[in-house]
Amino acid sequence: MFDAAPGGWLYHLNPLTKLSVSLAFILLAFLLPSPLVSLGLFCLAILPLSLWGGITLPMLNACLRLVAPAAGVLLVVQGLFYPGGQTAALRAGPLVFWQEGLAYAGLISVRLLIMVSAFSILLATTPPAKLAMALQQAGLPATFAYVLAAALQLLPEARQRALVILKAQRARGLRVSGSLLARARAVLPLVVPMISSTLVMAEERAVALELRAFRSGVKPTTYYEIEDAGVERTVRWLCGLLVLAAGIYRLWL
Amino acid sequence: MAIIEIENLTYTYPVENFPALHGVNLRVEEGEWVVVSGENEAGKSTLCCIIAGLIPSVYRGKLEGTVRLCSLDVCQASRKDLIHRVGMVMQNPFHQISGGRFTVAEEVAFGLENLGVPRPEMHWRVNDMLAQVGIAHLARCSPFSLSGGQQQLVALAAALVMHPEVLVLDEPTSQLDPQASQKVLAVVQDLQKQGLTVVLVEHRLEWAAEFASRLVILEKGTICADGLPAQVFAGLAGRASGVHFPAVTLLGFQARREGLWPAGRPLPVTIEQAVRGFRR
Amino acid sequence: MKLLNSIKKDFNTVTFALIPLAIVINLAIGYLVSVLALPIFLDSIGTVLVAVICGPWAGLATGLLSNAVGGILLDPFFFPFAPVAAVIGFVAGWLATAGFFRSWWKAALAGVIITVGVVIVAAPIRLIVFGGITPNSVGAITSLLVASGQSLISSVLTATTLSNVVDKVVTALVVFGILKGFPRRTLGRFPRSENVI
Ligand SMILES: Nc1ncnc2c1ncn2[C@@H]1O[C@H](COP(=O)(O)OP(=O)(O)OP(=O)(O)O)[C@@H](O)[C@H]1O
Ligand SMILES: [Mg+2]
Repeated sequence: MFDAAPGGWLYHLNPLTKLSVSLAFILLAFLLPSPLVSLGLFCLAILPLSLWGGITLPMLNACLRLVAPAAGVLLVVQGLFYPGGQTAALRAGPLVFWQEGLAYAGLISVRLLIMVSAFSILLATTPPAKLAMALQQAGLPATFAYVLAAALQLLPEARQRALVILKAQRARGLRVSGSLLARARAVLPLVVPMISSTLVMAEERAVALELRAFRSGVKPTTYYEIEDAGVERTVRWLCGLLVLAAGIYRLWL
Repeated sequence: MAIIEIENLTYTYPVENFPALHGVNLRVEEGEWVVVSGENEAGKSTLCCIIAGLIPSVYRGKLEGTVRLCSLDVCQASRKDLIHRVGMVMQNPFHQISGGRFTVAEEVAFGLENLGVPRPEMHWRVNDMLAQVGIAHLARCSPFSLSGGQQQLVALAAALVMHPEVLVLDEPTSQLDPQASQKVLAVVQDLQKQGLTVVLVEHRLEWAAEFASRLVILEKGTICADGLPAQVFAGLAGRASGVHFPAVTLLGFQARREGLWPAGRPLPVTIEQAVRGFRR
Repeated sequence: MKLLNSIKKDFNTVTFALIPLAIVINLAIGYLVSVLALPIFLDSIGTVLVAVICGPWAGLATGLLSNAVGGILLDPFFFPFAPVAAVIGFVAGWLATAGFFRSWWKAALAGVIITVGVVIVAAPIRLIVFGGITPNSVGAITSLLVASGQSLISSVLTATTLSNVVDKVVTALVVFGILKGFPRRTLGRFPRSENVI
């Protein structure tokens, strides 16, 4: 969804730091069930951060694409059918929008907004390769770091390939707006060879990995090092503490 | 002391009923360049996998006889011990890319990473190898953006960066165009001159015979000929062995039959030999 | 200890080579199906495939990582559903061990049982994170049910079941069909190949 190009100070941060900050925002939004807190988080923390990092546009774009439709449906459905609805907020003919329902929809929507915008800060400034590397440096086993990196690398290409095949099928008469059966029939010839070739490829890849001492029992090193300044570690600790405090507040107060 | 010693080897893949190799004996001395050929399904790739130590650790199955590599019993040795001694490059350039690394430099470094080689050493070894193979300018490219020939050079660099004593090549150029093939073989030739032992599986003997110090022909899982290329060709004459003789050698046969080539003189394998032979 | 050893056996090099490819299958086919606007997801074929031939834990890992990759590359809404993907992998692997991928009708039944697991895990996530109405076809069905007078919780349960049962049965059948005719030579390299041969 994002194309993280070098530039901006957020790009140079350790991905783990950005990940912790994003997760902290999201957890705070869920632990403190008040739309005002979430809205505050968005306006006073996420938005300024994105402005500072120069990624406001892609971030807002993602929110518009993902959160806006969800919020729209939520407002209508919850507004009309919220079970605890008592105070009417709006009457439109026979329809009644309940205030309680709208408030609930608002809370959920703001949380979704936090979720998407907070992750945008991480994802719009971090190339997938760097994220996988950082996770390995932070202690993710090299085997799983490999899985993550390989999938991240292969997916864009595979999606491209799928589209090309689809286009070829269209040229041969498949109509995407055609009948359900016709479209369903178009999928199987794409799916079956894809899976068969995958099994064979996995076998060959495994040999290639063995020849590169994959899982040799030694703790692997990494070719590149991702910088991790002391400040960043402090920030990560702070994020943890903040979430912990919110959790305690939620449980006991 | 031979660097590869195979004695009485019989190997059957799991689930199969018939052995892929049986009664194979092969000794390869240090610095030799052995070309292995034979018809399809003869067991060439299986032999490569055995020399590279992938059998029985990866492919399992039933292995009888002994296989020693640098005096190390391949069946008992760990991957870690083997990997410094033998490297392997296979046919399909694309399938040899680990897929988990985003640049050519990291891809070449992947094996060293897995062995826990310290970062500074890794950097100079990788840079050295990229330069030696002639792909230093691609260091920061994605391995998936390269052409097949370039990918095969990456695979070669990834094998050589482990500093193996034996290099096994299983039809490394069969999917490449002539130019890319030349490039791959030129690198191998260079290293062989510095003492690397090379085992190369190749169908196109036309040009493989030029640098082979020895030719081994497999047939249905056994070695049916082994020796200097000219001797092997002479021995195989008139037999259906699935081996494609070089055109010069066929010319030599014809010339001998017509009395233009003395019976005692070894058959020509390269154009040079043919020219020299005819001039005499 | 026995469990740990069996998990270790499941995660051999071939498994690690297969998982990324399976993740790509999940997300690429899921994408294709959404482009074609088909009323199913087909986004867990890879997960079920790994689960059947590499065991439940490998299936679980494939599900989790699939949604992590989807979250990173496609859209962040993949993240909250990671537990659902994990359950699909785990249940499928467990059913395969119990022999559910040895015949057509059992594979179809496996699809139904997987759906039960999906509903148990997905419904709470839908309710807590999305207030019951997800921005996709399931959310649309839920909305219709709510509008027709059902409670939110029962609407979510019904919608999740309806939209998943066909999908999971088709997924299980596709995986069964492909593995059934596959050369034993290749299958034999995977740690749980005895589940299908
Ligand atoms: N993974 C495997 N499992 C079982 N049998 C195998 C496997 N790979 C190869 N074989 C069988 O072992 C025999 C030798 O095959 P091998 O691939 O070594 O031949 P080859 O000489 O390399 O052939 P080609 O010229 O086609 O590459 C064949 O009968 C083949 O069917
Ligand atoms: Mg072969």
